[in-house]
Amino acid sequence: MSRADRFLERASSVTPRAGPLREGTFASPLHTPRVASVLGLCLGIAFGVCFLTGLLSHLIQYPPGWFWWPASPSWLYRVTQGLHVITGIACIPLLLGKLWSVYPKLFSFPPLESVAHLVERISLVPLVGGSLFMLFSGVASITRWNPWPFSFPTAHWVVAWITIGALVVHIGAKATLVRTSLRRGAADPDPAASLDAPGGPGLSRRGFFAAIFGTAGVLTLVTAGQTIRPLEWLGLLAPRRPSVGPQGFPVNKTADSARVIEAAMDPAYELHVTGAVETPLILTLEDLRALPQHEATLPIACVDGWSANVHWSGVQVRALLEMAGATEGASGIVRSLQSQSRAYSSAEVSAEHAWAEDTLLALEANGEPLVLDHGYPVRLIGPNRPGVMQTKWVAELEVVA
Amino acid sequence: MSSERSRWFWPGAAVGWGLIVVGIAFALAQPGSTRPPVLAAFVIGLLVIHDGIIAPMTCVIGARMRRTKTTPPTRGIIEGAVILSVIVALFSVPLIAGWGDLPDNPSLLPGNYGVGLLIILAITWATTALMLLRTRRSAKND
Repeated sequence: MSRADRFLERASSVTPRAGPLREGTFASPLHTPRVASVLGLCLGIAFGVCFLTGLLSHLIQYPPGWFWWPASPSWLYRVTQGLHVITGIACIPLLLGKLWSVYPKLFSFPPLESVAHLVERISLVPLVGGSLFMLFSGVASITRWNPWPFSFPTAHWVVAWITIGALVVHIGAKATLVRTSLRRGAADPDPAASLDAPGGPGLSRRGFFAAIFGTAGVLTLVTAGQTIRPLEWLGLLAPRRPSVGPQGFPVNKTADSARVIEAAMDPAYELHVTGAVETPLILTLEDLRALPQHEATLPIACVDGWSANVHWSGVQVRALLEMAGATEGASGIVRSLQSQSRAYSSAEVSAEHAWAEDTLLALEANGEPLVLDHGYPVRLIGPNRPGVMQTKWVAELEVVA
Repeated sequence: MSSERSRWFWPGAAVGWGLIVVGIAFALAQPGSTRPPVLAAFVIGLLVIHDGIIAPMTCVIGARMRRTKTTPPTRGIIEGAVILSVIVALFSVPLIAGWGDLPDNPSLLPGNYGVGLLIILAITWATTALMLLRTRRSAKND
């Protein structure tokens, strides 16, 4: 035993045992390694799914040089981001159940046995605090409630790394215990409270699992309808309904909040195609309407996890690129009428997306001219892109060689 | 405890704390966006709220329920329904309160979430009542 370990052991031995530190304070059969291991395993998988889908969404929005994201299938981002939010919501009862199963560990005695134990316990602060923050901030964000001064996307991103890092520490610390606890025929430390017997205090372990997983199932059913259209009628607690909004689908940022009403309604509106082109273009709304129109049914898929299928009509971006004499394979930046200092007022369009058949500067949605809140006079819509990158109130398409 | 510790403990701790440091570095690199002191307060604060308020309250409720005259199977069914009801109700708080609602955007929070929660609770407790009835009948037949 190292000197540090001996010091910690001596320090622990003089700690008085009272209140929750007393042995036998927590009598429930739910506080066992097996319960914690089952819930921990499910939570670990769910958090892994959330982290990977969230990482993907971040990379799509802020692509490093090496990153490539396809234009097809058109529904892929809708699935990954829908899964991100659905899984995150299902994590709420899983996390609360897991924390309940290990709550007595907070008062374990001696509080510190060794340096390794100290590292393990300190790592629980970013793990538990980070996990609670990710779920709390995620739920607040999808309901558009922002009770904080920081930027939600940035905060959610940085705490995700902290939480996943703490989870890796935890997995390293508990791998052997989890494997032992989940082994078929593993010795039960409390046979009187087995899965098949109610035990003393009330809720059996089977009942507890039923309650926790049942709650996850209920929350999923009553919220998933915001992206899974056949479940929309069940969406009792869904922050969005895919069919509710002007022209039959939801709005995120309104024209009023973006402060573009005057510019968008200006009869002198012009779309500028600039940058690495032979012939820069300046097109009025009538010019755009006179060009060959292309139609496509594409989902609008928000980072909040909702999505809706919309039938779009407009001018193909690649048609404009060809008109302007852009090099095949050029990419672009689409800028909004919004002040360029505002978030999401511009979006990169990779070559993959710029030259895709169904990437449009849309003039109509669901058979009607775009309304202001959906981006009148012109908005970008492309397959397999996050909603925040489907720029509304488009003013300029800058071509990048 | 130490006998259960995995051989992956120290490698896991090294990789994990490396990722934690990466996250903290991201936060400190963009202080205007992340407001590190406020962000840290939220993370620690939620942990304190859970460990200092929510979990102890759960202990108190559980202890109170054990003092009732209900038998373990009955109490277990009711406790399960309470768990579901409380978690779903907590989730619905920002929806019902409408803190993120905007008057110029009716597509945001379009539902009647108070009614939605009541429907879920009604179904939950109706199902609970049926399960209790079945438990009582099984006990009588035994």
